[in-house]
Amino acid sequence: MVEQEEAITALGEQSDPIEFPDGLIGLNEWRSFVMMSHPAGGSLRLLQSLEDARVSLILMPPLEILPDYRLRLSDADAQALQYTGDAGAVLPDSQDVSVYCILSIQDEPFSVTANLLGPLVINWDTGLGVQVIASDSHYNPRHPLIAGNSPESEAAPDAQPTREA
Amino acid sequence: MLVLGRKTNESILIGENIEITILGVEGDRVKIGIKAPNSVRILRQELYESVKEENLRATVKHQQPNEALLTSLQGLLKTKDGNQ
Repeated sequence: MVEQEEAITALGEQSDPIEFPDGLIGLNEWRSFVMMSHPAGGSLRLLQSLEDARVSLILMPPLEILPDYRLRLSDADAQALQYTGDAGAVLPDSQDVSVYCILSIQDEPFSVTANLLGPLVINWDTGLGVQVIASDSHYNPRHPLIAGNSPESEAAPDAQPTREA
Repeated sequence: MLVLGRKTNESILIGENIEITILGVEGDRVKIGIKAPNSVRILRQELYESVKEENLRATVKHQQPNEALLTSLQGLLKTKDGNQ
């Protein structure tokens, strides 16, 4: 477990700033974040923008969702992270970086999904982060964790099809 | 958009380091070979778009987590713990 990660397990503690040089995909106006524990506890994290106090993302380690989750780091992503470990490393076995997926919480109907296709990889040594697309995988960008809570919602015609292999 | 016609096994250069070759055409599928430096990210566009869409859906723009949400998320964590 990485030191930074241990530090933020305690409620109210936060990580050193994390720079996403390219921002997140489609959200590139925000590049500086800190990570902190989530009020719900456990392994949940909040990724809080330092540029806009209203902007945050909820994160969870993908290994807690799929115990066999694997991610291959491309050379381009390794360079963006200034990651000096094995090129083509299969994460999240690595000791040097953390991998998180973003949770999406929707109100009506209430649902929680995890984006396993586009995880965040953070190199705590350099304070750099990058959003990776697991393009050689069949991971679901909308992996269901909590389904809609009303009977009607489960049969909603616009329910998203899953792409899980 | 620049539009070029190419035959099978003909290539296009983008800059000096990126070479795109048409390897074959079968019906409405085109097989493309790409040579590019390792530092260049190459992605199918629909993957990029789906991750972008999820990022926009997932961004929390109101900071106060409500009690019901916290309870649900805690339930999620308990479920995970129970599985281990």
